[in-house]
Amino acid sequence: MAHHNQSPSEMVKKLGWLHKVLAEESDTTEKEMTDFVKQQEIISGRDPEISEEEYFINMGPQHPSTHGVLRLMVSLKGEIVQNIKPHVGYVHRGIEKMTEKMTYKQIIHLTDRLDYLSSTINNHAVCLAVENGLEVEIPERVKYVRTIIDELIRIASHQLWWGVMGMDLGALTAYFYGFRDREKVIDVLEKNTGARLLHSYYTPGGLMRDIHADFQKDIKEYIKYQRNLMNEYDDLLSNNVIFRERTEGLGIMTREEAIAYGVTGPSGRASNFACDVRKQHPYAAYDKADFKQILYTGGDSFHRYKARLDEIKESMNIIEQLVDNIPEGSYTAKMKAVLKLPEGTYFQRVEAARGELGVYVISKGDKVPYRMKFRSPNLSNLGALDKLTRNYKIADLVAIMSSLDLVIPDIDR
Amino acid sequence: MNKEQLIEQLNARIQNIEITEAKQILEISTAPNHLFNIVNTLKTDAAFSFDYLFNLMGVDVDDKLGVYYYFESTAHNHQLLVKCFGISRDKAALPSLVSLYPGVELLEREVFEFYGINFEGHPDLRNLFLPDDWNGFPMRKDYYDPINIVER
Repeated sequence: MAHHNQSPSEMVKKLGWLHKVLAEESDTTEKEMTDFVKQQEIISGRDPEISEEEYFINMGPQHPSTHGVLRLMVSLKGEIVQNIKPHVGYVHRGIEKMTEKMTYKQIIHLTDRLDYLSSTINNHAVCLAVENGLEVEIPERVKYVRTIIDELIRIASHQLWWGVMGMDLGALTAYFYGFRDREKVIDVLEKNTGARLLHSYYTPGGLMRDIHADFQKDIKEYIKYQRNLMNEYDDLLSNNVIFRERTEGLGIMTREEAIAYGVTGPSGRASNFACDVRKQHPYAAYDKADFKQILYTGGDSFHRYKARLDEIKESMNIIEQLVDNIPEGSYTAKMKAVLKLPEGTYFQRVEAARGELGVYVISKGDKVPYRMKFRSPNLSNLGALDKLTRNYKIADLVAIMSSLDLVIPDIDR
Repeated sequence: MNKEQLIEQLNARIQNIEITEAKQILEISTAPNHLFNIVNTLKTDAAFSFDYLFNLMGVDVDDKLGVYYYFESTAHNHQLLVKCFGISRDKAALPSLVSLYPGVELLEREVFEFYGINFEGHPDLRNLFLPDDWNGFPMRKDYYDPINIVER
């Protein structure tokens, strides 16, 4: 980016031919030449009176890099970001209010629509919260299947993010490759659950139906396919010079900041904040699998990128350990037709694809919750965006936002 | 730190709280005028070091408006729920925790618009999701729902 620091007069000097043209072939005098250069300096914002001026632009709600309807009010000096005010609520559906009139089984289908890329993980959180309240023991088979499907969803979500991050930074090829491979995961899930994106496959107490006969075979085939591709991902983006220049050392978040802002998921772990709920507060069958929490100390956009790519590999490790050991047994615990949670407060934290998702239920003993709250990982991650992008150029804002991987319907709820 | 040790430490170091043992998490409740100092102690005292606020939710329970704060310590790995209710429904107000936990800025705005709880000391308290001219506080239990968005 060296040419940005040159003054217009230096640039004109370098362009010797222009100098010649202006001096010889026209009647331009030396004075006119200097006036021209001065004018150029004022236009380019070097005049102190102009460059000090602060102005606002609206990025979104219809901006491709916001991946949805998020409006950022960006305050700029030149092209340097002074601060950001996020405006959200364009897809606010009042899901928390709606849950107060719905039974627990109906709520499952609403939670798909929070973070639609980790849809089944959202279902899982509600199921576990309800099972906490009812104190039902769910079969081991259910725990294994749920863990495997959660990890498949996580892979699909990270693949979509990987492609889209490439696209945001101008590498459209990555987008096609990411979507090509995501399609394979979706095919596996479609065969098993009947739906491609919003599965609603879990119910309180177990699963909607037993797994497909080909489930294990398909997964093993898929993992074999995906393992060979990880090097391709590195070749396409991770080792790309332009990509690295635009992500390395940008948007640095320290561990303390990550904790204070509540930035979780791969974004938090890239800043060495050990926030993986699967490790810290194990649920389902995560205690049966041997996997490591991906932690980096860099805290910049590139390490957030690395953390997600490594998570794909780690998810495949988890699946491989569990897929052959799915215990025999029933696919659901014996549940009553109408679920009534005893009076009290219950919560369940799970690791969604973008961070910690929490479901908090206050029950008064009815078949509908008295109050249900979703702790959205994306809303907390969005809160840190202002801090992360200050004093960077507006093009870096796109890169940093992309590395946080925000999903807007989860913010708005 | 386990639950018993945490109760012991809370009794020894913090006044004006009421401790209840729930099944999943230890709960304390306090009054709004003590909240800020208590949370400050919980965060800075090395015995607690509750540095991660993992959830903040507004509630309307038993005709009282309040906020539940869920804390976790990344050093000790223990958790705590702090409950705090505003004095009255009309003028419900709590101290803002933005100076201690900068991440709650958006979360407090959400509680403000849905429950009408005023957070004193918040830098930019206005509606987050709803339009600026929205009337009433939709998550309150006595909210009149004229456009039947929920009831059918």
